[in-house]
Amino acid sequence: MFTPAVHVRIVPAAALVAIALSLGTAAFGFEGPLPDGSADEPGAGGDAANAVVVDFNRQIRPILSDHCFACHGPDKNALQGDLRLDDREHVFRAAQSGLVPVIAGDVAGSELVRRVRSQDASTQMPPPETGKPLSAEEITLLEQWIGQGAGWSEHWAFAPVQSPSIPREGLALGEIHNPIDAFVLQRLAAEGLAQGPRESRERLIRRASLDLTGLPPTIDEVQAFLFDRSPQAFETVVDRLLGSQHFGERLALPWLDLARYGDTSGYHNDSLRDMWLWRQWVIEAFNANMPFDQFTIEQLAGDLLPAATLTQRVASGFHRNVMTSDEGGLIDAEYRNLYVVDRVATTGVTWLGMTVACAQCHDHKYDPLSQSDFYRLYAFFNNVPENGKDGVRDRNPVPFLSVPTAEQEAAQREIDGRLQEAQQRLANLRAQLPERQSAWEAKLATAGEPPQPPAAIASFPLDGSADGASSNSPAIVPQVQGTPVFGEGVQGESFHTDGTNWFEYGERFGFEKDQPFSVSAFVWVTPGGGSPFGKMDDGNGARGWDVEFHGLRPSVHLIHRWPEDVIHLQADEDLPANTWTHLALTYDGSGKAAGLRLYIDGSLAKATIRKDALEGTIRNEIPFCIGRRGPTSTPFTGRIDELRIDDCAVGADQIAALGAADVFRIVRKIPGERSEGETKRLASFFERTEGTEIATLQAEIAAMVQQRDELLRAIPNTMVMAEMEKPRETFIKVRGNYDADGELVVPGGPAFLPPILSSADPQESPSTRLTRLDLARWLVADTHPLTARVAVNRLWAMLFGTGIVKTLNDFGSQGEAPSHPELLDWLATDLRRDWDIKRVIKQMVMSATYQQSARVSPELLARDAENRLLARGPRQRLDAELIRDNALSIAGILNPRLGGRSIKPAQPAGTWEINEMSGYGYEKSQGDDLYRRGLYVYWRRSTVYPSFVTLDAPTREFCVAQRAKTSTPLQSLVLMNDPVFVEAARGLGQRILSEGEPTREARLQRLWQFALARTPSPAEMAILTRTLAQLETTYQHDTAGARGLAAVGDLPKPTAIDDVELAIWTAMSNMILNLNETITN
Amino acid sequence: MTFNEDAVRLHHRRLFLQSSTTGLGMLALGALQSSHAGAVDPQAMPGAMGVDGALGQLHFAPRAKRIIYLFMSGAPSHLDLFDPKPKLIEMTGQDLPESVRQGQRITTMTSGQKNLFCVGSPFKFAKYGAGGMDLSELLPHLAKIADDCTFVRSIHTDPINHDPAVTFFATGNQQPGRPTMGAWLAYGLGSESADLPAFVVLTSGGGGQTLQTRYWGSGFLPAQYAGVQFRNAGDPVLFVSNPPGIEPQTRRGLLDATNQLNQIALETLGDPAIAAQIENYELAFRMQTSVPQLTDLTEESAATLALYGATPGRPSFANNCLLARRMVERGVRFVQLCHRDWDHHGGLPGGIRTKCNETDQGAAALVTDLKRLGLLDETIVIWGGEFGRTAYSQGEIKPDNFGRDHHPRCFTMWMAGGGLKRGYVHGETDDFGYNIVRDGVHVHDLHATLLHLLGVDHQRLIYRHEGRDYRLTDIAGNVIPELLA
Repeated sequence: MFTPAVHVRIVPAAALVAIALSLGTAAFGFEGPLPDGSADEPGAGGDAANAVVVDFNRQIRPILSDHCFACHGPDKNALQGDLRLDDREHVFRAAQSGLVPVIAGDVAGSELVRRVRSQDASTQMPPPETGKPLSAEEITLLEQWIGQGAGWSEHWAFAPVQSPSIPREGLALGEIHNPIDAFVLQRLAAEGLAQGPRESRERLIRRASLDLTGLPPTIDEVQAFLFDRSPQAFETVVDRLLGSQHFGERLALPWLDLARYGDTSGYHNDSLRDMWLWRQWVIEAFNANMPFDQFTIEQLAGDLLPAATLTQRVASGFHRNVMTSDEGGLIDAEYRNLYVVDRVATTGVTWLGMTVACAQCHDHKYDPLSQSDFYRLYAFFNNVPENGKDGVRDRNPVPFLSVPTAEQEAAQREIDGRLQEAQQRLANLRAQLPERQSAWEAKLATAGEPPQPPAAIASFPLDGSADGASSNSPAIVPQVQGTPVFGEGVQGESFHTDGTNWFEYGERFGFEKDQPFSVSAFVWVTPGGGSPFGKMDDGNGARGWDVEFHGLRPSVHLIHRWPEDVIHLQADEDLPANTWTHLALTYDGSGKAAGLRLYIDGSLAKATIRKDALEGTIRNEIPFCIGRRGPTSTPFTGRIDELRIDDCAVGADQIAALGAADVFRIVRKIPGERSEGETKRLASFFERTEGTEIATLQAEIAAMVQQRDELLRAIPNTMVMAEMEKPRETFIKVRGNYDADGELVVPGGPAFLPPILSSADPQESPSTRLTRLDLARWLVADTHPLTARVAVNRLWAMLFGTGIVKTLNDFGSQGEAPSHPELLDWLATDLRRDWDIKRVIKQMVMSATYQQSARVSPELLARDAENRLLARGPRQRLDAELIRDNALSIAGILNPRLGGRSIKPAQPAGTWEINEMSGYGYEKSQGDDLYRRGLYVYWRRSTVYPSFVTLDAPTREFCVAQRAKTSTPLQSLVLMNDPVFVEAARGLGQRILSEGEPTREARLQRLWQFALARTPSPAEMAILTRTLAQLETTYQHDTAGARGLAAVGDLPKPTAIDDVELAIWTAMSNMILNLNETITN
Repeated sequence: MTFNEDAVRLHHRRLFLQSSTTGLGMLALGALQSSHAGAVDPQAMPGAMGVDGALGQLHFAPRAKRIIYLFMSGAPSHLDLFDPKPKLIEMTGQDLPESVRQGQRITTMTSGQKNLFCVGSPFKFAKYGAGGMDLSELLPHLAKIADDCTFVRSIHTDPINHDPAVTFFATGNQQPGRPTMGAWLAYGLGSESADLPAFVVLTSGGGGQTLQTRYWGSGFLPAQYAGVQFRNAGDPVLFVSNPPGIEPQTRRGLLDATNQLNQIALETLGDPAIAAQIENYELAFRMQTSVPQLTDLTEESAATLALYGATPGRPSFANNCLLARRMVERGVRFVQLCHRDWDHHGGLPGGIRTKCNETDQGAAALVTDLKRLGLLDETIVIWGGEFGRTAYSQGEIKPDNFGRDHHPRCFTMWMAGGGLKRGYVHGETDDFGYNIVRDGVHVHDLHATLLHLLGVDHQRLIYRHEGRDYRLTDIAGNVIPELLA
C-alpha cells in the first residue's frame, strides 16, 4: 500500500524553484532528468518493512477525531477524565485512572484497546449512548497502529508545508509532462493502475476552453488546433485561453461563491445593493494575474494599505458582501454580532479551509481552536463603522465609496452650481414678498365684498358643534366618537382632531359614480396625513369616496374596489403644514378622472391622474365621517372648518370665492388685531395666489434636486471596509450569545498556527494592536501552513472536479486526508514562490493527467468511482452560469461585454413576488444586455434566478467552497422549456440557417460542431437525420405552432428566414442544447 | 449495448449509499465502509423522486407518512384566537407588571414605548370539543373539528424577529444554511411518488412579511431536496410546459432522440452521470403530464369545492389546501403552505379577522376531507406561525384598534392526524398569556416529535457537513410523549 511518509524529502528552496521552473514550462514529451530521490527515510508510521503500514494521519487520527474528540479533544469544557486524545502528551502517559491509553507496540497493554473492545456499557468507549460505536475495521486499525509502534504526528494540514522531491518511480509507466504527472503516476503504480490514453483533440480543446474561460471553443479555434502539428499546439491553446478576458470571469465564479456575493442585502426585506464594482475588481484582478498574496491582502485590508488607492478600497469590499438586515424591531447588537461572526467564518473557510465558526460558542470539538482564538479573530472585524440594523432599503449602507466617472463629476458640479443660484434667487424673491403683500392687502381691503356662493345641500360650520345645517332638512346631528374638541378656526371655531375623535353622520352623501358632487373645506394639515373626511368602506375594497393626505399631499379617490376599480387624482404639490388651506373637489359624474378637479385656495391645482379605471358603483353603507373617511379607517390629525357639500360640480368662480372667504375678512383687520394664525394664513394665501413665481421657482428647484438625486444614484457606489477611530472592545461571547460578554480579548491568531506579526512602525504607532492588514499578511506569510494548500486545492478541484483534499472547506481533523499528500505540498510550495495563479493553472492543464481521456471502463468505475486516483481525465457538468453561457455562446448570441452592473434576463413572472415588501418589481433588461454572461445576472439572495437554483447554484447567503452537482428532472425541465434556453435554441437555429450551408447534412454537422466541437459519428448522424425528418413533417403541418416557436424570446428575427424552417431548426437546437455532452466539459 | 444500464444504476445507488457521508448510508449498507467521506459526491445522488431515502429503514414504526404544514407567516396572535385571558381585559390600559416580563428582551419596536399597556382581546371565546379548547369567534370552522385536533398552547421559540424566527422553525437554526424539515424528510425518507417531488411549497395571501426561498431550502443538502414551489400563476412548476409550438408528441420525439444520443455517449464514455440524466429526462416528461393533472381542481366535485371554499382558477389559501390534499394522495411527503400577512403590529382587530376569513374554512376542510378519505390517520396537519404576540399593545389602544408586537415566549399551534392525541389541549400560559406555566414545548421538541411520528429518531437523521454531524434538532429536542395518541 502507498505510504505517504516514505518519499518526503526536504530540498533546499532554491533548488526546488529551479526544478519547478524547468518542469513547469515543459510541454509534451518531457524527458528531462528528474532530481534524485533521496534515500527513503522511515516515516512516523514505524517499520516500513511491514506489508501494511498504518498511516497515523490518514487512518488513525480520523477515527479518534470522529469518535473520541468530542469528549477527549480540544474543547476544555467538554473534556472528560482530563484525557485528550488529540494531544500526544496525554495519549502516551498515565491518565487519571493510572492506566496508559496507548503503549507503543503493546496492544494488549493499551487501555484504549481494552476500552474500545469492552462489551461492558460502563467502561465501553465510545459510550453506547453516543451512538458512535467503532467498527470492527476501525478497531483492527487501531490495534495495528499500536502494534506497529503507534507513530504520532501533528495533523497534516497544520504541519509546515513540506517541499517534497519529485518521485522517480513509475516514470516508465506513461507520459510525464510535468511534476504533477510524476506524483500521480507514482500513486497509480502503487495501486496497480495505468494512466489513461490522451483525450481526443476536439474533446481536449473543448474541456480546456470551458474550464479556463467558461465558454466553448469556436469552430475556427478547434480547426486551428486540429491542424497545428507543432509540439506546442496545446500550449498555444492554453496560453490563448489564459490571456482571454473571459479567464477572469471564469475564475471569479467560485470566488463569488466564497465571498457570498449578491446584489441584495439577504435578510428579511432582502433590499437592493450595489456591489458590482467589487465583482468587477475580482474579474480584473484575475485577468491581470494579480498574485494571490496581493489578491488576499487587498480584499481583506485594501483600505488599510498605506496610501490606499481607490481600487484597493473597492477590493476591501470582500467582507461587506456579508448579509445585513433592516427588519423592523431587530436589536442592533444581535445583528452586528452576526456580521462579524460571518466574516470570521468566511475567512476561515476561504483562506484556512477550516470551519472556525464552531468555536463561536465553545472550544472547537475537533481542531485545536479555542473559543478565545475565535474572538481574537473576531476582534479584527469588529471595528467597522456599520450598523446592525443597516437602515436602508434601496442604497448601500455605510461605509461605502462613490466611484464617479469624470463626466459624472462634471455633471454634479454643474447641477450644484445651478441649484445654488436658484436658491439665491428664491431667497431674493422671498425678501421682496412682505412689501408686495402690503400693497396687495391694501388693494384687497378696499375691494368690494366677495361674491357669495349659493347655498350648499349641507354645511358644517364646526363652530363648537358638529351639527350640520341643510337647506332642505333639519339639523344633521352626528354620532360623536371620542371627545369632540373645538378651537380657533377660519371663521368662528373649527374641529380639532388628534385621531381619537371624529363624527359619523349616518348614511348620507352616498353619491353614485354618475352623480356630480363637490366637497370643500378649510383644512389644517400636519405631516401625519390621513383622511379629513369621506365616506369609504375600508372593509369592502375601500368602496366610496374620500380626500386623503399622504404626508402633506392631497388625493381624491372614487373607488369601487381598490386597487383595480378606481379613480385616483393626486395633487402635484404639498399643502403647507400647520396652517389653514382651502381644499375643494368637484366631480361632474362622468365616471372619468377628467371629470374630477382639485382646487387649492380657490385655484385649480396641478394634479396627476394615478388611476382612471372606475367601473363599478361607489355607493356604500358606511356613514359619512368628518375626522376620518370611515369608522375603521386611518385617523386624521389636524383641523377642519367650514365644510360644505354640494350636489353639483361647483364652478371655478364659486370655488375661488369660497377659498378666499376668510382672506377677505382678515385683510379688513389692521395687522395688530390679526391673530398669529391669521397672519400666517394671509402670507400663505398671498404666496400661493400672487407670488406664483415663487411656486414656479420652487418647482424648478425640486426638479433640480430630483435630477441631482438621480445623478448621484447613477454614480457607481460600492460598500467598503473601514476602521473606527477608536476600535470597539471585543469580549468572548459566553456560549456565543451576543449579549453575554465574557473575557476581554485583543486581535490575534490561533495558538496552533504561527504568530501574527505587527507591521506597524513602533516609532509611528506605539499601539501594538494588530490590524486586519496584519491578519491578511499573516495568511500569505511563508510560514503559514494552510493558505497555499487550501488555495491550490481549490484550483485543482475547479479543473479536476474533486480536490486533492476532497473537503475543500475542511482541512481540519474531520476533513478528508489528501489523496496525494506530496503532490498537494509540492503544488502549495510551488504556488507560494510567486503566488502566480495563471502559471499554476497552466501547469495543471499542461499535465498529462489533465489531458487524459475521460472515458471510464466499468472495471475502473467500480474501482475508483470518484476518480480520486486520476487514471482518467476529468468530466464535470458545467456550473449553472456556465450552462447558460455555453448555450448562448453556441447560439452565437452571447454578449461578451466585460464587467458592469448586474443584468436581469427574462425570469418567470412572480418570482420576486414572495419577497416584495418594498415592491421593487423585476424589470427585465433590454437589448443585448439580455445575453450577457450568467455571472452578471442579478443575484437576489432570497429568490435567486430560478434556473440557476435548479442547476445547483448556491443562494450566496453564506460562504460556499464547493457546489453540489446534482442531476434532477427539474433540471431537464429548465433545459427543455425555460424560455431563455428556448430562445438560445432559436438563436442557434437562426445561426444555422443564416450560414448558408447548402445541405441538411452539412447543417446538422455544423450544429453538432457548434455544440460539441467535434464531428458526429455515423450513428449520431443517423439519429439527427431521422429527427430532422420528423420535425420537418411536424412543422410543415403545424404552421401556427411553427410561428409560435419561431417567436420565443426577444431576439430579432431575420425576415429572410421562414417560420417553418426556423421552427424545425429551433426544435433541433433545443434537443442539442439538452444533451449530456453539451452541459458537460 | 455495451453497457448494462441496470448495472450502472445499481452502481450509482451503491455509490450514493457509500458517499452519503453520515451513519445513514452506512446503516443501509449494514457496515461502515467509508467513515470519512467529506462532501457528498453529488453526481452520484439520485433525484429526490421515486427513490428511497438515505435512512434505508425507519427507526420506529411510523404513525404517519407525511406532513402538511400550514405556516401562517407573520405570526397570528394566540391571545385573540386560542388563549383567552380575562385578566388582560380587566387590565386593558394598565402597564404589564414587571413581575410578568421579568426583564426579558422585547423588540425595538416597543422597547422604546413609555408604557406597555395590557390589551384584552375584543373577540368572544367559547369552549369546543372534549378537551374544552377555547376558540375565538373568528374560527368557527376550526371549532367544528376541535375533536380531531391537538392544541399546544405552550410552544416557545428563541428569536424575536421574523426572518430568524421563520428560519428557526424551518431549519432548527436562526441563521441561513441548514436544511428545512421538508428537505430533511426528502433526504431521509425519499419520495413515495414516482413523478412528483417529495417536498412541495404553496404560497398565498400577498403583502405583509416577506418569504425567502430559504424557508423551504435544502441548506447544505444538495438542491434536489429543496421544496419545489408550485406557483399560482403561469406554470405550476417552473418550466413544466413545453414552449409554444412544441406539442407533447414533438417533445416525445425530441426526448427519444436525446436519450438515444445520450445512450451513445454513455457507451462511449461510461460516465454514470449520463445514465442518471437519461432517467431524469423520462421523469421530467412524466411530470409534464402529472403536474397539470394534479393542479386541475375542476376534477373535484362541487361539494368538495364548497367544503374548502375553493374556486378553480382563482388562487387562494383554500385552493392550496385542496391542492395539498391532492398532493398527499399522490405521495408527496411534505407539503408546506405559506399564508402571508399575519403581522398585526397595528389594526389587529380588522387584520386578524380578514386573515381568519381567508384561512379558517380551508384549513378545517383539509382535516375534514382527509378524515373522510381515510388519510388523516397517516397524515399530519400542522397550523401555526413563527411566534406569538404580546399581551401589551404596540402603540395606542383605541376602541376598535390596537396592535401587538412579537412574542416568542409562548404561543399556540394546532395539529391533527396520524399518531396525535385528538381533542387534546397541551400546556398552559399565565394570566397574561406571556409566560408558560406548564408543559412548554420548544421548537426543537416539536421537530423531534414530528420526526418521531414519522418513524424517525431525530438524533439519528444526520448529515455530515464541514466536519460536523448535523440534524434538524441541532443539539436539543425531546419527543413530547403527551402529544402522542
